[in-house]
Amino acid sequence: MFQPHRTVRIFILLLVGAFGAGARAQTVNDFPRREDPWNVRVDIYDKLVRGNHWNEGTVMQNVIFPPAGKDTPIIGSQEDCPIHTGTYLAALSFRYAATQDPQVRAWADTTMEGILKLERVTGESGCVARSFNRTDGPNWHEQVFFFPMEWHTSTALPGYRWMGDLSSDQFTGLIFGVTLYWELCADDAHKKVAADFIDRVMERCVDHNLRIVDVDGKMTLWGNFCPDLAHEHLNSLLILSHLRTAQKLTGKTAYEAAIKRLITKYKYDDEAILAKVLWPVEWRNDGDDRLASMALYHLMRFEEDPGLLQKCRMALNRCWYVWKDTDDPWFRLVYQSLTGEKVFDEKALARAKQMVAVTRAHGTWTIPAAEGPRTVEADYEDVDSWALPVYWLGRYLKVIDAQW
Amino acid sequence: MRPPAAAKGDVMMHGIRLSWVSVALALLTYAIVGAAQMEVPDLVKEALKAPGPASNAANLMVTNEEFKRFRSSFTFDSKDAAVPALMTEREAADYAAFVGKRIGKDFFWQALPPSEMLQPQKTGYGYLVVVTPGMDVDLSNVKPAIPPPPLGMVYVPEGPFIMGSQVGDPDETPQHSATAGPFFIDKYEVSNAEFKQVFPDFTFEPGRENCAATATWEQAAAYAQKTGKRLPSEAEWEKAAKGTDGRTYPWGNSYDPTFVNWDESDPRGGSPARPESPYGCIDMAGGAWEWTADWYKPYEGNDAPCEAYGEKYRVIRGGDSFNDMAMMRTSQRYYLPPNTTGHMHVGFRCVKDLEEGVG
Repeated sequence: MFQPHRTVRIFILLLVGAFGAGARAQTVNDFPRREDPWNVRVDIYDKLVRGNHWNEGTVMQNVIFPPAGKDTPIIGSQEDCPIHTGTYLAALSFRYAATQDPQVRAWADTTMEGILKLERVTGESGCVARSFNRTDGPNWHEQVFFFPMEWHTSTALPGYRWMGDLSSDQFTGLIFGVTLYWELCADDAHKKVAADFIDRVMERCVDHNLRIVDVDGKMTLWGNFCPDLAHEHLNSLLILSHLRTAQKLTGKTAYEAAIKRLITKYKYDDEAILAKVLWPVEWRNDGDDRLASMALYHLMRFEEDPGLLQKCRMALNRCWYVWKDTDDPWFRLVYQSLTGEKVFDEKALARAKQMVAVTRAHGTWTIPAAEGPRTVEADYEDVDSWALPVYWLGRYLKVIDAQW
Repeated sequence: MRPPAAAKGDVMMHGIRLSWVSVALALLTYAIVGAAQMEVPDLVKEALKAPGPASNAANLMVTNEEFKRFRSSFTFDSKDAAVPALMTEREAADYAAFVGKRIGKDFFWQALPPSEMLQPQKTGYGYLVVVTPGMDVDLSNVKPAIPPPPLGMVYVPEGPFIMGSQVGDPDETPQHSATAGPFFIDKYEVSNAEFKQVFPDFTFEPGRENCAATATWEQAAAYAQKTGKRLPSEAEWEKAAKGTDGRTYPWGNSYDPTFVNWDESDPRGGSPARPESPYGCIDMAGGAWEWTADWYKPYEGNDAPCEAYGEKYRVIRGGDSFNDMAMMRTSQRYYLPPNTTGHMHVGFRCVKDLEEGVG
């Protein structure tokens, strides 16, 4: 499950390179101003993502820039790279659907290539990395973040190191983005690329009894959709969605059979109704809601079984019990697109206009180094996953005006 | 050698033939005089005191197997199915009612002397004795007395248990019968305050004195050695967590989030439900991973290759509540280098061997 508090807790940022050089040497220095029109701000945010957070087609959620310089991968924590990349690809796909801009499609193709590299670098079909770095050897900063033992030297792509232990939330983010790319953006050749990717990752998952399995053969720490193991109800919803998506993209009956087995034998459809935890209140989790929204968005559009659709609607209703009070633009857009109810109101629109896709700040960090810890000052940027998808889904649904 | 068969109407106790009349008289006396005080007749007391060679204690005392039919959460070693069940006086009364009997008439509850308590903290335990004419008495299956566990530890008896899992990761296979015990194991993980007592330079956030300490394997092993204990083997840890019935979690087979500590800020035993393992350990699922003494290696008969196997990583058990609930299963294995916690919350508990010749 996505647990932002933990991410915050381990938010120990790092820096590589020559400390003390000049400031603001990043690839993109422009930063949107509050008074800029919404579409202008979105454009600049997009440039920031592809300029400063780009890692060979994948999106790095945290970066620290100078003094290391723009040519050096300067990164913070990398474990959430897949979900940021997936949601960015979703934004590009909605954008292409709204604008038919060939440049956007090219960017999306590059992003898909980055996702393929997340798989290729592991050397195993359907096994996807959390992130990778091109490097001649182990980076010392690997030891600073989560799961230092999860960094591996790639045997499939010499010159790369990659981070394993893909989780159900990162998995969901990737499937969400790649499926939208297949549906809205890719040309025929790339549709096959996207469908084949989904097929490989889902085939591996099904072959391991609905688990995300790492190269050591073990289920990852958060990779549990398995009917033989206790699991979150949310994960029942997620895997039903992923299986239906895989069936839709590939036409393979194996995925249909897996859905049937999960429903008839293990009652995943009933568990999916309870995907949203409502009580106790303190256990409600925004990150889980994001995952549920992605799963429901695909499942409710691709599913044809009225019984399962009804249960999906019940799951959505439980989500809406909380979402209706949040004015969250993403949740309202998803709910509106799935139900036809006009819930993307003025308050949600106003909030959407205030969303920022990239935040920049200046900070001081203690950086481990061979000669001992040292303190450095640097600018850093974080990416928010949802501002760009909100804008472009809104444009795609024609509830956001291009001139705003 | 079996004693001679009892004549109809007589009670055989350890080869001593008692007249049915005397038993009836004892019962009658008890019914009239002692019902309110739950006084156990001397006849039964004598039977309890006098271990004999003969047949079957189940004929006289409610067995583990029988008691479990009444209380499904009750656990015992499978080999002890015919051993008299330990229970509180209240449980005895409930059980008697459950089978339509009355204490003082059909059953007598006999308190155990403190010297025979397997877990001294469980005071008020004893046996439920069934008075049935025509049966032999044999207490040879009654567990021997053991020394009281050291402060803060619980006792895990010797015997086999089901190790591994058929539904977990490949490294949990093959599921097999393993033997561990007897030993004492910490009821809780070692706390920050306890760790600091041994290593004064150790620091932790104020207010977390009673939370599980986070330590590398090397630090944990050093702590255990300095306190005259050791880290548990994987088998010892798993048996302490699951008992002998192969359960998935220390409390049973279903996961419940209220049964686990959420993270390292929770004090030990701070979960709402505070369930114990079959032997009385707390927090063996969630809260913090726990180091074991063992290298990460395949179980015997597991031929699946894995680069991580060997003498590179030490095994951690029990899961951190931040991880997926499957990581909290009693058979789940994970591994870390011994010189790091990998930014995970990894604590430990220690074991202590019984003195030679005891247990």
